Amino acid sequence: MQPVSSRTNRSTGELQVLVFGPQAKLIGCDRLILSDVNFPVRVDELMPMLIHHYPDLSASIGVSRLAVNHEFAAADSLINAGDEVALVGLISGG
Amino acid sequence: MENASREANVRVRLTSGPIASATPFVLSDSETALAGAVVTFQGRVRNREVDENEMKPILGLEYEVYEPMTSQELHRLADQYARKHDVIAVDVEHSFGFVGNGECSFLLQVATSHRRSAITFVDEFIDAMKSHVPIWKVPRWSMPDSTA
Repeated sequence: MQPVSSRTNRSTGELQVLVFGPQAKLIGCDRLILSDVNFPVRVDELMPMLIHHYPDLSASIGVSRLAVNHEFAAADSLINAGDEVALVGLISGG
Repeated sequence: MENASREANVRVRLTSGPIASATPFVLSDSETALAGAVVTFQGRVRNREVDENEMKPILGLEYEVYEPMTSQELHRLADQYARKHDVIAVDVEHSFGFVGNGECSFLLQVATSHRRSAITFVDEFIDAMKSHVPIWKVPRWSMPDSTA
């Protein structure tokens, strides 16, 4: 795992989080949308926000990780406006 | 004891739908000279999946990937475990899209000097893949059994 970003561009706006597989099926769409997010936001701050806005995901989000710009992000990584964020949970290759 | 830091030849592919036939596992002359063991593993779709603690029949599985991260993670893990087990060459192929039951969704081919390291590589790589690589599957359920 690597720090995802060292930039600290401050802004407020919408954050979309891509979601796949069983989690996408559960909520009926392929992305989670959060409004009025204060960027940069830490990964470990974002997870509770996702649970708050999408309670149907609360059971599976504890076994999920966030990917930022196609790399797994550490809990203290910063997410900036414009980053591509994906929820990686309930994976099952093979 | 052999040197366990060899640079392995790692190949990764994603295939739409079932993997109908194994891509030939081509080794160079120098790789062939060292490869005393070649192990091929096929992952196939079963005809049942768990739904609410009950096994139910399925038509197949819909696989979803997240590129380029899926390929990157498959390559990273293959390279990591290849170094650990002194692998000569490894070929990883995984399906995306629909794969019907009985069909192949995952093909892993690995060449090593000795059997044990190839078998251990297969086991450890698959465990790691299931934990780390963004690949999802969603069952496509069969119609309810009319005899039930």
